[in-house]
Amino acid sequence: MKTEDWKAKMMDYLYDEMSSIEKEAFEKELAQNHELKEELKAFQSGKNVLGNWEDEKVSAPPFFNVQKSTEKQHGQTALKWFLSIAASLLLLMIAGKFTGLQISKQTSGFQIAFTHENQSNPQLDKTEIQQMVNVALANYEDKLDAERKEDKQELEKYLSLQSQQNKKLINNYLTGLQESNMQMMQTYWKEGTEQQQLYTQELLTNFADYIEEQRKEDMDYLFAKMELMESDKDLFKIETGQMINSLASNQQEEQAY
Amino acid sequence: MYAVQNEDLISQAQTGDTYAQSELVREWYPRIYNYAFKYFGDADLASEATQQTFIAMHHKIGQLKECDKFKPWIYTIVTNICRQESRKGKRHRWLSFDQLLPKQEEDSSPAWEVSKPRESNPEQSYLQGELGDILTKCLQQLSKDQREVLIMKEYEGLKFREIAEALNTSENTVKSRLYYAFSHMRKLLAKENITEKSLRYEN
Repeated sequence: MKTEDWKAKMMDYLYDEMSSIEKEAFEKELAQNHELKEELKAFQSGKNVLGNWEDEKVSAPPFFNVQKSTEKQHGQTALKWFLSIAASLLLLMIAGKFTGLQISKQTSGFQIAFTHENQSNPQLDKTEIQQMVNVALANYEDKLDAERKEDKQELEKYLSLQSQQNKKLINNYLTGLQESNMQMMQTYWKEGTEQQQLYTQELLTNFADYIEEQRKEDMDYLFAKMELMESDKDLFKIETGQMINSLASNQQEEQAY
Repeated sequence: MYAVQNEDLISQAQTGDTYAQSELVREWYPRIYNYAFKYFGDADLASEATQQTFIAMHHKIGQLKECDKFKPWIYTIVTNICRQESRKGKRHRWLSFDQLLPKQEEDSSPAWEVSKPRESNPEQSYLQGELGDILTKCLQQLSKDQREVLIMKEYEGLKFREIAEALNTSENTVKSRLYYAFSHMRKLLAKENITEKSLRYEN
């Protein structure tokens, strides 16, 4: 019975990878073949034992960049740069065509112009340039002064506002602190006095108890002593009586002789 | 079992999309790690094999012709790497730190433990750990072929066809190996006194 074919069928059945017809045929055989049934049962039991083992809980580490991908990225970036430069040049050439771009090199320098070349400005006088520079500098100084004044005013305003706010804040804080301290002290004194009163009362009560106890013990001692004295007195009385009796009897005997 | 077969993601990863590749790694990492862990019974070797698998996946994913064959394909890679590591392991014997510790400490202090957030219930966690240790020990006693088939079928949930593709063999051979793997495991578990009943009692 244990042919390779049946072993394969059993595995198919165990993992439910059979067509319905195959399954039906296998179950029919299973109903007739006790040995096969027992074996399948044992396999299912083993499978259940194995199924109790749970997976280790792991998660993927952050994905690492491998050499190849960076190279590829570098290649792509270089291509992007090349294409963008080429596109810019092309745009420049088209724009130059439509706007009549002229590029010329003269003794005064290299010139790029659209439509027609501009005539160079006539040379200015040295004093005029100096004047222009002075005027520009004076304007600039004025502007700077005005800005500085404005900034100073704003800063002063801001500082005074800030200092007022800080003062207010500190005052509030101090007032709060004072109040809370006062409250704390009052509570402390009140509680202290109450506790002292309680302590004194307790002390007095204990002292009175002590005195009472002492007095009781003294009285007990006194009574005991008095009882002792009384019993001594009784004994003395009896002894005296006995002595008198013996003396009397002695006298009587002497008189008789 | 995991059913992670996102063909779009695979085809994107084939174009060199780093995001798609990292998503594939994220999705498949637990499966591949657990396969390697059960294969070796050693967390360090499993991590090493898993890392190598994903590096190989990154380099070779362009060669995968059909996206729906990704699952057997990745198991082929991990199986080959596990076999390589296993051969290396025979040449270089690995020692863990607790094996290197002096023997006298073993009685007084517990062995080094790796914190595993398995379950909130400590008893359940302990039982799982015990069962895991015994099953690891039993699996290591199976032949390499039987172990591969058993892990792929029982724990990774691959179809017989997929296992056959991954191991480049016939379906009947796979089923036959699984039959013998089960028979062998039954004997090994009986030796360890592990039965379905005893497990049910402990749980």
